[in-house]
Amino acid sequence: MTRGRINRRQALKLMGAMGAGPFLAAGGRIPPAAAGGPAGRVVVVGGGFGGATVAKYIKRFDPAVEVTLVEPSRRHFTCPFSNLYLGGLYQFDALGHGYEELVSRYGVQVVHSMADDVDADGRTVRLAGGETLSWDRLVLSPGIDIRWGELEGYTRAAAEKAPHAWQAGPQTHLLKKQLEAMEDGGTFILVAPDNPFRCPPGPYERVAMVANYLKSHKPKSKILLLDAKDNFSKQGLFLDGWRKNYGDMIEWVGRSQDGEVVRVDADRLEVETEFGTTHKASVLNVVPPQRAGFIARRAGVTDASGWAPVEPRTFASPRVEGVYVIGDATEAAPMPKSGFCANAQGKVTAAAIVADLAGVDGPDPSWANTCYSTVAPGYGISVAGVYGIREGHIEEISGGVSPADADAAFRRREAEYAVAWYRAITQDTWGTA
Amino acid sequence: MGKSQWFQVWVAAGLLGIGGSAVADTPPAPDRVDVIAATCGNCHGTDGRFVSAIPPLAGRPADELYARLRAFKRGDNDPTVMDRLAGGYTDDELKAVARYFSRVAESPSGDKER
Ligand SMILES: Cc1cc2nc3c(=O)[nH]c(=O)nc-3n(C[C@H](O)[C@H](O)[C@H](O)COP(=O)(O)OP(=O)(O)OC[C@H]3O[C@@H](n4cnc5c(N)ncnc54)[C@H](O)[C@@H]3O)c2cc1C
Repeated sequence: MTRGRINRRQALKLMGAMGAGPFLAAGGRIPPAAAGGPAGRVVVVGGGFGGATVAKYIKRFDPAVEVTLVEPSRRHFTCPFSNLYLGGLYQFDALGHGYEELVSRYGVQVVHSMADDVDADGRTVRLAGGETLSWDRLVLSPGIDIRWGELEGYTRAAAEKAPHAWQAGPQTHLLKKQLEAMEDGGTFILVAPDNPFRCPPGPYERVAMVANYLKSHKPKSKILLLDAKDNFSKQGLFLDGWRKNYGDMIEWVGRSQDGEVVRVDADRLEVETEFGTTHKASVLNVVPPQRAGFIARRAGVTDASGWAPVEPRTFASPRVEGVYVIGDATEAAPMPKSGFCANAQGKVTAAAIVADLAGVDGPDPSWANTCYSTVAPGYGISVAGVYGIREGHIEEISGGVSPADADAAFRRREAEYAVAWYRAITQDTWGTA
Repeated sequence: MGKSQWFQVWVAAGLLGIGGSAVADTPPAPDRVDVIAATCGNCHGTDGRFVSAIPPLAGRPADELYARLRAFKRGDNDPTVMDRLAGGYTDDELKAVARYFSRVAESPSGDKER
């Protein structure tokens, strides 16, 4: 190590403390770094679970790599635990995480802007303000976009009356307000989509948390979950947990019992199913079909499915050289679209990029996942898995769900671990637990 | 030497004014153990330092950590998720990860732990 290196690091730190200003020099191009130049320039788009993690871990693996993170929000509000907020078990403010530690401790440059376009040949990203950032490697972790209109009647305007609350923020507040305004004895309807979608256990935890709220505030109410699938994540555990905690308050209707919703009328709060049954809601929560965030489509990394295929070892795009995609935007089955997986993918891809920039082979990857779901206060369940590569494909090496016959103490521990997990992963991702 | 140990050496060398060839200019490229250990951070916090209902890993003796991981893998030790996760690694990997965390300081020097 040379002193020059420390000086450059301190300089970068100072630049970070001053904000992104010095980074966007005249002409909008990043100036080459002083003192020997950086080990490479990486731009990361999206400061959620995947993006914040990959930015931090590139810096941890090699501080000499320049990392710029592009994210419009000053605070990222997480979807994980937003169901617990709806259930009255967690504060909304505690879901928000900022970027201060990425800047001050790890030397990541954070630019609060939206990435509008990617020029893969010129290796630049254009920001909403018109500036461009140059990169040697680009990582996209933009999460999901809603496929507006794919479910008939479910438009942006409809979502103002029948919220999805599948991206945390104003939509979450809207749903909470509607729940609070709902009459006792009303019907809460949740419409669940077909696979693949963000957070496979999410709709089932959502109704449990809504039930937790209704049980103490509006106990005569009902919950109807209309599902486009016949099977769902942790199904046995959820069905059992709902019944034990909420009796018959929650009714789940699978696809083969005419559960698939084909049309939404948000003005009348009505939905119509495949075989023509109309259901009327007091509060209507539609989890609509999804696809990768738009910047992934702009960059050309998505295929006809709307998601981005990836090279299993590194999550490099097989379609666009120099670009990596992680998190919900990818097709990475059997890994689920979870915050845990996005974080784990961020680490493997950070290692792959650092190795690649150094001209060596990256390590054999290993990813993990644990999705806790809180069914009721003191009643948690989980699905866990470790993933690796076998014969060129991502496979689950080990894993499973909580035992069906676990006792109350086991469920209580998993509820506690869910909270501990949330605090740990947000510390690990943003450093703001 | 894992990444976080490298980082500590790098900082320490800076404090001692050691330069030039005494310490390599670039860290070793991250290996599979670095990646597996990083994955533990998802529940145990970065470097396994997060203190909560889920126990921290940093600075615990390698033998103790390895014995616990092996027990989890067998389904012993009253696991909730750790039996399902430990089965995803070879014994050599578990041993290497145990060694990794045993060498991590319980809190980063000069830095108050969150
Ligand atoms: C109700 C609910 C509960 C959930 N619970 C859990 C749980 O308990 N555990 C779990 O592991 N997962 C859970 N998830 C899933 C989790 O939220 C996602 O899997 C995770 O957020 C994916 O991370 P990501 O980085 O792909 O996307 P995100 O975390 O959504 O981050 C994307 C970021 O990119 C930014 N962005 C998008 N486009 C651009 C652009 N063009 N330019 C700049 N920035 C851009 C966005 O502002 C956003 O900050 C839950 C999801 C829901 C909906």
